[in-house]
Amino acid sequence: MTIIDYMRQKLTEYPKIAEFMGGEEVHIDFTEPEPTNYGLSSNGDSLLKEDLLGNQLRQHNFVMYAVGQSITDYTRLANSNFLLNLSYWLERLPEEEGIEADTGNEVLKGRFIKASCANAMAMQPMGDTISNGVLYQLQIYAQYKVESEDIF
Amino acid sequence: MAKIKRQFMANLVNSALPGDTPVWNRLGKDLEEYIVEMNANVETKNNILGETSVTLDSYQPQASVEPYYAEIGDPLFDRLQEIVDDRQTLDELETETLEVHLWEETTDGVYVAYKEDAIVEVVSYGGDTTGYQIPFNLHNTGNRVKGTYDTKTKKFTVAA
Repeated sequence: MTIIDYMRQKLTEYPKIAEFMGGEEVHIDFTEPEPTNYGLSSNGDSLLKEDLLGNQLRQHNFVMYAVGQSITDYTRLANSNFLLNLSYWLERLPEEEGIEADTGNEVLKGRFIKASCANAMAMQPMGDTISNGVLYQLQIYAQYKVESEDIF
Repeated sequence: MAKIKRQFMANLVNSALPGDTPVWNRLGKDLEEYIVEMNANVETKNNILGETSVTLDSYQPQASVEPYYAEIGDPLFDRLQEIVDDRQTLDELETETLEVHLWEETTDGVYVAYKEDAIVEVVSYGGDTTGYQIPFNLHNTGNRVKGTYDTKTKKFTVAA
């Protein structure tokens, strides 16, 4: 699976996400306008460094959009706390094998290293009034290694 | 003329104890650079005619491996940890380095290589939260011999 598949799976596995999502899947690159929905948007992959053997440390940037209930202060506070707890959980994900990078010529093995989060915030109301829900965002930076082809 | 990729100049170190059958470990994982500093001994003299004579009579090559992340099951880690644990000195630090020219293949999977005696110096150990690190230096001590390295059997053979 790619790093996008991997992070989507991890978000789905977040123990508290079911409370929020009601069993729905995490969307990719869009989110439904109704509360409560999540979408994971991928916005770029970059090479951080490469070692002498050709192994690469890469970073993939995501923005997770979430439409949450927003009628009362209580629900808005719950949404913010949800994003805060999700950030803590993501930043404690262990290193893990299982990522692949398809270069066109070959499929290279990869390893998830760590995730960090930033800018968890309310973006905009989903309608004319705040009672239609609020769009939240959480930026996620996932670092992973791609192993080079073995020369020997 | 194509440039040679850095990974085709393979640097290896023997992680076996002195006198044991060599166990060659390739260096480079997590290393963004590995530079063998030649440290040439150069003497320059000027005479009264305005001429300059330069004498280069020896080298003291050395290289730094930093970072080196310890991995369970890696024989090089076992060797370095022994040095740390036992505070080894003198002959206990003897090892060998190997430079394999992966652009000079003699037969299938066999490449031109140069072996040299060396001393391993553990610089420090510990490191930050990214993992347990044991950075070390390799000081080449001479006895450089040319031969070949077989990437399948992982053995060095001195040239006839």
